[in-house]
Amino acid sequence: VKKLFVILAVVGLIRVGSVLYYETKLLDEPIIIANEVNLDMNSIHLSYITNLMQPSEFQSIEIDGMQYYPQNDSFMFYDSQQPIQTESYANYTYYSIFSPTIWLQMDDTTNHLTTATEGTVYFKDGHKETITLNVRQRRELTQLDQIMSSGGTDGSSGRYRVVEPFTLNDVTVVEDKVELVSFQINQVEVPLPVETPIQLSPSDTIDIATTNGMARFDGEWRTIELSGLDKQGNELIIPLINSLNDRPSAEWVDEIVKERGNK
Amino acid sequence: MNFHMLVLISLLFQFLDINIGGIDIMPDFVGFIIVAYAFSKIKVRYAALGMYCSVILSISSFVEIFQEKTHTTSFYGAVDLWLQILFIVIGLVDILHLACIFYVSNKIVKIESSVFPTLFISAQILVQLFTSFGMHLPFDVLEGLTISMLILFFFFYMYFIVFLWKRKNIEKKMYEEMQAESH
Repeated sequence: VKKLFVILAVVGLIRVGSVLYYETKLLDEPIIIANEVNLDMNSIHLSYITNLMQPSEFQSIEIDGMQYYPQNDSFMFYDSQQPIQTESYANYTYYSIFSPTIWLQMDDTTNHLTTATEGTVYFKDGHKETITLNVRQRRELTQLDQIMSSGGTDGSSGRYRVVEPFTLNDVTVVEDKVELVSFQINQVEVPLPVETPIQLSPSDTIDIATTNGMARFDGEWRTIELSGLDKQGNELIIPLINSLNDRPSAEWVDEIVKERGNK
Repeated sequence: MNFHMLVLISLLFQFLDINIGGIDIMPDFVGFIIVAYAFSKIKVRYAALGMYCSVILSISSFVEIFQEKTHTTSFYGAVDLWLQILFIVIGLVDILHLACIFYVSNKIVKIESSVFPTLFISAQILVQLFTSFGMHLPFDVLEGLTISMLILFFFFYMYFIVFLWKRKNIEKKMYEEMQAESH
């Protein structure tokens, strides 16, 4: 038993040392890493890094004096007061990413958000932070009809049929979230950037394949923009979206914490 | 009731969580009080130490009932630093308590050849060390290791019950022989 006393004392010191080291890794405040007001989906997405142990809980976001609270995202619980995503989006050694979603119910509410620029995020622990909002406006795809779309950890692809004629001048990946692997018109690879404008007619098909990319929140999209001119000669941008499926890596999270944690 | 039987009963309180109306009718602290009582009846070396450990564990598990209700504990244990250190101390007291049970048990049945006590206490110490290092591992790795450890400990505790049961019978037999001799 005497020998055991010594062993337990050593073990105790190691454990206390370990806990003290863990404490140095903890964040005082959550770090907001992404937000999106998605008017296509009538939703507001937020994503933040917080401590794995005792995480900060999101309460609401205030936009132009209006408070938006998260709800259960299932239609079965429509308008219910169910607690939100209590489960984290991703877990790491010391941190978690939480990505609460607010589902907007009425169009007039979403209309009010089209011009929103700033929002204040409130956490249940009393912390609040004003953020610049990223508003994804409603898309109107009149020139293209989506035939097929797939997304996974290997990448994403989509096939579109031209409905209204337009002239294609350029293809760009918004925010470089992914890399364009293939761009085909009528199943023939088109070298990018587009050197001479391409005239597209109804029943032509466009195939796009991209690498997968990091989704900072559940439901983050990548956008490929096709720019050109419509049949009247007006400038035109056609956004083609698909889901991102990679969760942020531990290295990426550590880098963010190093840059923005505990200032 | 002999020492080993009381320890066996205390284990039931520790392992069974029967909740009626949100109240655990077999709280852990009662189990530790039973062991403290078992130690108090024995007059061998370290029985008193075992009793003090039982009392500390009884108080801590009583306080823990209210801790759980206020959600101040998490996967890793207590959230506040001082509570975490307190839980570490309690974890070490728990090992000491177990060592006292084995020591007293050996003295009662006069058997010292079993390797199980050494194995079991070593495993408990390794868990403490694992917790120290494990909390710095990626969450998914830690989850997998924790599940493996829980499975391993399930078998350890199963054998602990068998071990106590056997010793309970030996203690009973010894008592009966002593009774017969005295007559």
